[in-house]
Amino acid sequence: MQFNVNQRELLLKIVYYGPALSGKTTNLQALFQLLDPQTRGRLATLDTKGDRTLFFDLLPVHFMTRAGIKVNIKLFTVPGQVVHEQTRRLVLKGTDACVFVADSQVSATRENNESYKNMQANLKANGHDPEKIPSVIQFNKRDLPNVRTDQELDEFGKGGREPIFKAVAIRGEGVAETLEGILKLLWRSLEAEHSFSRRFQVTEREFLDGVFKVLKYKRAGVQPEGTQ
Amino acid sequence: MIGHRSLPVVETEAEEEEEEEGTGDLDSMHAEFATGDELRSQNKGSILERKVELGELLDIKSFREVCASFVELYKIGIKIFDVEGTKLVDVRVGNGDWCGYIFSNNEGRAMCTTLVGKIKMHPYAPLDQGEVVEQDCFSGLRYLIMPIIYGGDLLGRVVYGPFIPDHLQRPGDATKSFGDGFDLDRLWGYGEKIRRANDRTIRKIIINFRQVIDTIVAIAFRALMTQHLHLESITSGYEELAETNRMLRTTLDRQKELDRMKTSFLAMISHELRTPLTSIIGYSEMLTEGMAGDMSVEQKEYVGTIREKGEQLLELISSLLDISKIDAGAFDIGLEPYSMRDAIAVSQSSVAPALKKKGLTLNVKIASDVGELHGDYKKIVQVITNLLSNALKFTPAGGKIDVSVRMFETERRYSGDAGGRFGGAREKFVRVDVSDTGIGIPADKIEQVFKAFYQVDNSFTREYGGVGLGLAIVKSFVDAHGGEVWVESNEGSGTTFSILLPPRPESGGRAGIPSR
Repeated sequence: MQFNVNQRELLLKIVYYGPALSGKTTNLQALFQLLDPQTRGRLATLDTKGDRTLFFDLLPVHFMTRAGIKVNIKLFTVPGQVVHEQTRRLVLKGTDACVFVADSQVSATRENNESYKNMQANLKANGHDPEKIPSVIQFNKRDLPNVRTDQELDEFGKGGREPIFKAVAIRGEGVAETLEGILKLLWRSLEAEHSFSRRFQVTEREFLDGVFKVLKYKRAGVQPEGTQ
Repeated sequence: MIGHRSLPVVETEAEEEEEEEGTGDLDSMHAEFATGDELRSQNKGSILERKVELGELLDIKSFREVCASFVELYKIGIKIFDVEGTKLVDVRVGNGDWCGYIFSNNEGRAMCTTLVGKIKMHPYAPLDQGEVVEQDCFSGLRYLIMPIIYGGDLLGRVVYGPFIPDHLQRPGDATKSFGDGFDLDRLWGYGEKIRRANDRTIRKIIINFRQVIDTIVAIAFRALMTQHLHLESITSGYEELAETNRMLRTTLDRQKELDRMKTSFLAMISHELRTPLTSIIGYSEMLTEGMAGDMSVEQKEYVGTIREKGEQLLELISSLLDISKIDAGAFDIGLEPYSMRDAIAVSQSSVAPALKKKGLTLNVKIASDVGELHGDYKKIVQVITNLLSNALKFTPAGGKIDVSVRMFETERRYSGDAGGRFGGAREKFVRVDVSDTGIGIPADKIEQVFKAFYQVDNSFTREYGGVGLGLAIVKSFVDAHGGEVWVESNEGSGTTFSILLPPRPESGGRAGIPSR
């Protein structure tokens, strides 16, 4: 977290990590589609035309809180291919939260494991505690055959601290839910570490609403503010 | 061409500013090619951790062209400033005389300077929200200011104008009080060259321009990030590799030192072992010869065994010493004339007792065209002896060993020009084949037999003795002569070792030993 006192600007960074071709960029593209078209028009398309991510992708989301603080959240993806180790480490530097995008296919188990270990090592190398940093795991590609069953994923979820999300990023399914999940963890961790709500006069609710207003996404079970 | 003819209307900044910006471009190019260290020393830090400046994103020279074509099309000037107020682009049209006339007046100049400062830097609040701001000039002209925003950050502003607002019928009131005979009609006359437009039209043009600049900024942002990140990852990768290399070098140096110590230790030990052994063999000999008095048949037999085993041990220690010398590269090949016939005879006599004991027959055939050769006689004798010892070791009782020597013309197979796309040159060699009717070597082990300390049967309970040095020594000595050695074998029915030696090696060589 970086707070720029003069400009009253809060910078947060979330990194989408995972093995090659697990759908990290697809996640950002799906979020990009949720953006208000007016905002979107002023961003270059993130479409990489089917190319593999060479270095990284970046999607900035920003909003102003009622207390007049500009919250600027940057969503990054790392290149998944093994050779881009250095880039992954650089992108991971100073991250506030991680979304691990796993490939649900049974055959991708080894790649998932290796990438996860790699993420932990790179978090450590950057001075983060991999056990403490807010993180969620998204099991992507739920629509493919030969994937881990829902039951298996539920079991898997019990075996670790990270909440599990299921997604078909290519159809936009589960992408916003994953983001919501990581934002909640991020807010809580900031609250615990920096007394976020007192210092910046922003509630968890306002924080999440701020992001999802930009993303034009109606969260399940949440009434628009002001109707309560 | 019409476009070109109308271009002179567009007034770009004086040449000197071009120069100035040219230098700026050079500086930014330098930064692009700077190494990670230099980037850090410039205190810029990682591209991911700092704010990007507008000047880094726009290729100013080509962007100025884009602006110029816009200005030409809409007849309204464009200026672009970054957040620090640095002017990046300034393309003017039509207002030169108007502004020049005002600037020639003292009061006009002062007011103009203040206004320009405001347009450049004033923190108009709506700009942060992405909204366009109107700013009127005291002379009645108007500017529209549009923010350049990327990723929620204000990067700079675009100033459109000046233009004459539709409703304006005379110069602004402030100009009335200008002294020094300031002529309002003259000023108004200059207004003919300035575009008259309403805000709505200009705002449409701005929206059009905003789409262009937003796209350029977004693409440039991505390209800049990618490029810097590429550089940063290469730099950090390089640093990591350099560190690994340093560690490897240290380890290698240590290994080399250990290897040298091992070799000298081996040489010393062999020497120290040989000294007492010489006494053991010598005194056994003296006992056998009765120099210390007569012995019974049984006693003689026992002492004979002591002597025989002592000699075996000596042989073993000698080959250890040889291999340690070879290992250290500490042997030279002398090139004196010798006779292969003599060499074989010497070798033959040294294995004769063992041959006889095992009941093996040895046939030697030497072709008549094999004449005088050049090489290291002692080493050639050892090569032949080792091959014979090897053959007799692995040939069961009643078997036979054939030695054939002939001149042989062939291409090199394993060394020198061997293996080239077009094969090697044909050369004349003396060829020695040592064939036995022994147990043979399994095909998958055949590559290994010339390695030091190698034994096909490596089990503790193996049937055949030795430490696996004989053939390694053969290969090393043959290589040193510029020759070749290979083996062909049928498991169960026998093995043929063949060596090729150049009759006159070009120079004495040195050779290492293939280690296990």
